[in-house]
Amino acid sequence: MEDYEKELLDDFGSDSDEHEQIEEKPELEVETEHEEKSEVPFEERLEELLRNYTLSNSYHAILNESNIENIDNLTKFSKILPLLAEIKSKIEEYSSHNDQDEDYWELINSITSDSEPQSQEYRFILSINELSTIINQEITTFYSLVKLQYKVVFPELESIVINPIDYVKIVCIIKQDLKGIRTYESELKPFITNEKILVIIMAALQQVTNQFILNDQDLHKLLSCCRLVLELDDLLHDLSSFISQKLSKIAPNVNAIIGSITTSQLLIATGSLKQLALTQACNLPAIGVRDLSSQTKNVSKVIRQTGYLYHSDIVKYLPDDIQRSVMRIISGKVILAARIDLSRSSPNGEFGQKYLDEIKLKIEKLLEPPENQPDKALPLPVEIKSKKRGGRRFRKMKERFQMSELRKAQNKMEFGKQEDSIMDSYGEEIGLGMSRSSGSNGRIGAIKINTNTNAKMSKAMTNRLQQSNKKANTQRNSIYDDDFDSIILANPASNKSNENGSNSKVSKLGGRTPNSWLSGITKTDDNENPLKRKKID
Amino acid sequence: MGSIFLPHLRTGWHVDQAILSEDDRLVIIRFGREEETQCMIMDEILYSISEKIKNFAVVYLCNIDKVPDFNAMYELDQDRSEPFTIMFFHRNKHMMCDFGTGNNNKLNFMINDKQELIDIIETIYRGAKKGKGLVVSPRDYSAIRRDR
Repeated sequence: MEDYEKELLDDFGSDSDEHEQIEEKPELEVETEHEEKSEVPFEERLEELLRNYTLSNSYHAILNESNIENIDNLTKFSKILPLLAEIKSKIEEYSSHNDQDEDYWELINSITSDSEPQSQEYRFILSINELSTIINQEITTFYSLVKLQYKVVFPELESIVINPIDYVKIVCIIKQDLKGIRTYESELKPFITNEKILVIIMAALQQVTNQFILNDQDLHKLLSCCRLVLELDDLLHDLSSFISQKLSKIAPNVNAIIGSITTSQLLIATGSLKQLALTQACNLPAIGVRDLSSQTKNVSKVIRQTGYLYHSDIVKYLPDDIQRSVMRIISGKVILAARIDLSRSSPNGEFGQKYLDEIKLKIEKLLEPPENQPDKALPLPVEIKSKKRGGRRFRKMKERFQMSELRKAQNKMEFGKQEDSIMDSYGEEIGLGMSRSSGSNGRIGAIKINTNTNAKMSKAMTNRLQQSNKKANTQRNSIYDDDFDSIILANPASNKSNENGSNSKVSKLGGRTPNSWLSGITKTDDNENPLKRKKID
Repeated sequence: MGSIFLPHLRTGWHVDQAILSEDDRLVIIRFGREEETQCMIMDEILYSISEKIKNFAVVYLCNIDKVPDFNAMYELDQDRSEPFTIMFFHRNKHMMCDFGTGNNNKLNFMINDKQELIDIIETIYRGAKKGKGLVVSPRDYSAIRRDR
């Protein structure tokens, strides 16, 4: 806080001379740095940039600067700008590279997939991926700077034109001339739709009355920022075209399906083409889930796997509900294409193109609304006669639910006599009506009792009961030895021969000296003579 | 606007042929003016169920201004509060239905429920199959309030 206050005080108290001094100092420093850096080889500087960028990006640098208003040239905060020319020349150099060397490098890379690739070119390609995110960040940084400054001139423009590049282009064209905006219409036409132009013109003409005019110095600053953004955008395009050109040679089929950017992301994430070919299709959407491009903040809630594949152009603009299935389709084909690339059977990417056509066909099918089926016609309202007819069984069934004679009699009352009544268990009085008094002596038996409601058993049920009874009895017999049901009488004279054998037990029952009467008693085994047993039962 | 797909009967001859041509289906003819709101709504309801009932009934539309031949015979266009007149025929025989409204010859009030209308048509078809000339509607419409 104190430092800040001091600076503020300095600002207020300082003379114009001091201002100039302050302004001059950093510029000088930058220049010296620039000179120093140019001695260091390009590759190292690029790597250094990539390493350091996360720690100190240009936005932070600008925010940390105490007095933004005093800075003449905002573009010096760009970290990429000094490297711009060299990156471009490298791209030129590598893109005009002869193919033989490249093939050799690819061969090595595909064989020794795990080892660190040695080629400088390969390393450059790897760094481009990170570089592109840095460039994107710088574009947003300087775009927001332009927005901040241009707000006083034309505040509505940023809400009308959301795309940063388009916004900057428009600023470059119309500058501060809101009044004569109509004259720029033809210049705007190539990159903005007619309706948008109309909206811009209307908004600008309304703004004319309360427009703030920037002075030349500020305008110059603003335009330099604009030019920087456009240059960075150019660089981004160069990089992507370079990458796609390279990749069309490394992985032509994969490139044909998902485009150069996603291909490079996938290749870098997996390490090499061989690794990509070995990856399972189901794992492909998960690659790069926490990537930098998901900072766009409109990450879908429906889809969990917002990886590189999700952010590829072919998937990104599809509706949520089919994205998942589309990603599944694409990942399958990408792996197939990667294998084709690995085997080099289709160097021109015909298979990739074929797969892409298939995928597009499938997407179209998924996007189709469901076919609406016509109403099904109702069946004829013909009454079918019920199959139930009368008969003995049906009559009996109905009889069981009929009111009994006794109940009918209970409901009747005799004229001129007091009704007998009883109290039930709930203390309620129940009249007995004529059920008592119908006979001369008032007995219930005079009324025929309804036998229809008696509990009945079907023939099958009685049979079954008999069977089970029999079974139970035989079991009982075998368990309890002294069952007196099975004691039968026999003529002792006829059994004399086996008196010592099977009947020895019985004879013991009779005592030590078996007398003639008891000797006639035998015990039979049910298993031997079941019929006899039944009769006794 | 689906009701434009329902067959329109342009002349008296067409009406006669429509009634005569069906052998075992119910012929439902809506007499009225398509430009009137209530009639329009009813046409839409009829169209929406026409596919469902096509096994036992067929729906025709007839504009009573273009085909005035039946206005006297069927007492059409007598009552200004009558939005439309739906009549049922089976094998060239006029089917009557007791809606409880007092007029058994025709259905001349709004029924907003499609299922209710289907039920009525089914009941009439059943009666027609049994050779009856008059059936009783599954619901009583005597309490129906007509918007004037």
